Amino acid sequence: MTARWPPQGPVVDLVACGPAPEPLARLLRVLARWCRVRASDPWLTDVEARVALAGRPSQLRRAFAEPAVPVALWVDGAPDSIDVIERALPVASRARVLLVDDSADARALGQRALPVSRHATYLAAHPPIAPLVRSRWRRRLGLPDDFTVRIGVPEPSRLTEAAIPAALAVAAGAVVRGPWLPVALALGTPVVTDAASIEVFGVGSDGACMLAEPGGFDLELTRLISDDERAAAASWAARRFAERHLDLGCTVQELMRRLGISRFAAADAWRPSARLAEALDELHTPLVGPIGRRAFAAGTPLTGSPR
Amino acid sequence: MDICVCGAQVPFMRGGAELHMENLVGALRDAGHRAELVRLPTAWDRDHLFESALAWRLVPIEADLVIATNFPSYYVRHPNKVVWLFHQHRPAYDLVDTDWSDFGLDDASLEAQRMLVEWDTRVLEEARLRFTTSGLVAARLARSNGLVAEPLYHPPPLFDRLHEGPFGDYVLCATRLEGNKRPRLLVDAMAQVRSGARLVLAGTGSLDAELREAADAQGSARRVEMPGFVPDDELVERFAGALAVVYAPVEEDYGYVTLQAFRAGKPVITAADAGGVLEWVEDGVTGIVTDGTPAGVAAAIDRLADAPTLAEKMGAAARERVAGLAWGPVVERLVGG
Repeated sequence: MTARWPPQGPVVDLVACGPAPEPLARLLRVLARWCRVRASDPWLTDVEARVALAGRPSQLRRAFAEPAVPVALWVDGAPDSIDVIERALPVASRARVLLVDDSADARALGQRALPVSRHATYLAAHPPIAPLVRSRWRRRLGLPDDFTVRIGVPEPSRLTEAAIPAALAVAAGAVVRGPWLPVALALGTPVVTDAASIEVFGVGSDGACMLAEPGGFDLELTRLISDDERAAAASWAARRFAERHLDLGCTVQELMRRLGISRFAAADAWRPSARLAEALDELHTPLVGPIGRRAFAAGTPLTGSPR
Repeated sequence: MDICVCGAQVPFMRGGAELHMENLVGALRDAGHRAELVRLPTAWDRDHLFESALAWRLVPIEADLVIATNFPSYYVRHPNKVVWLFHQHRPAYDLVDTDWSDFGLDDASLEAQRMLVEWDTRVLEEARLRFTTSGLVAARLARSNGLVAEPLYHPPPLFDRLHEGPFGDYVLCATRLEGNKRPRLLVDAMAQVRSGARLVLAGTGSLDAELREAADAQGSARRVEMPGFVPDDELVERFAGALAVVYAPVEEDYGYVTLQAFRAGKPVITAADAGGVLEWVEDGVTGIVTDGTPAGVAAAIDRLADAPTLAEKMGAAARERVAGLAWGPVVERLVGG
């Protein structure tokens, strides 16, 4: 097995002129989990794909200089923006992917469009915590076993913004309305919410959230957390929903698929460590965490073993 | 069909899980399939759980179907995976905070438990079909992982050889002499039994010496026979000649002893916290469910010793209760879906 761990991802060249808009910046941060994202540099080698931020055509030209390197182009939401770019720089029609904020009408951009959700979050920062583990955390922290959280309701829990994710991570359940809902779902918090939040975040009837009228939040929450099976099912359904609909990681993987770049750089893809990394990835486990390091160490020769 | 039955191996240990896997392979072969048992060594300590799980993830298995059984064999990666769950890694689930768990409230334990629940849920969810050996295991899976599974009951080892016999003067318990099987409860109960009933406590384990000492100290050594390992032929006859079977483990997944007793037409005395045993023992019908105290167990033994006809009546109901158990329908469900 190679001594290199984790195996390296492909090099992605970032062609930008000025700061990236927030949705693209977040996307790039997640892309960097799998790929080596590098600022554009004439000396950069082994580039397997480019992400370009549409600016002046003269600045963009570099992105399309090598026809063999696939390009994803960030365009603003206006349906005619790509037309404008392509008139000025015909080669831009070679862009394999058009990245766009999902507030825009992505359909108008055709098959190449890949919307980047405004609500999407980076799920690796919010791992799922099942109800049984939550109850042990509450014991550890000296919290009552029926500790719950209320966010975005008239009488919310008294929590600072910074404390909200931790509270959602250990709560037996939560009433959540508004922008914290994706984080609650990602953490696998058994959640009660209202119809408006369901509409905004597209949480369907797949059990990811319990729906209640504002006057019935507490009753529904009590019911949910007092039924172990229901709470466990809701917790996993919430996580699953977040993974399928709110995970920037999914968008990044779709981007990589469309660009035709694999999980590993060509130089590392053949190594056994790549297979191990894939298995860990499939289980949503960081390669550089303790388990990843231990698993890799298990494949290295014992020190002092006879040759 | 080529079928691989996957199971964890703990070197130098052999118990109900091993018999279960072997019998399943036999039943699959009897049904005309090519079947093999595939096992990988497993370490159960908290810090090595994940390596074993990953190993299963990485081993390519060429077969039309894999049937995964216990932790961590259900991590096997196959497009046609059926899970027949014996149990998960219970020290991280229902046994947390007991003497049988190395999961505490420290950072490492909490993160290992969190990750194990996540990993388990992901790999169990990917199975095409999910079964469990008992309703209790299915309920645990629903409570802990939010996943639904169907209990699929199977006959225990020796099922075809066990037979009825006279109701003798002893109660039998054939089990490993380990803490989770609670053999000490039976020895302590014997000190309070006032009828002439004896206890035959068959099996081996780490508690052997302690149990003998306890029987001695309590003055009941003459009425507690501990023959150690008992060969199958003898065990069948021990079942046949018993007044009843006493079996009161802690939260047992399934409990072959119960089904073997029932097949031999014997009632079972158990405890209210015996887990899967209670899916079979109906208090006053196929056995007696006690409060799990030595006094409670002793009273149940005396009750049957004083009224052998009651033991006979319960034994007949018990035998009837397991009459439908067979491997054929089990194989059909696992293979046919």
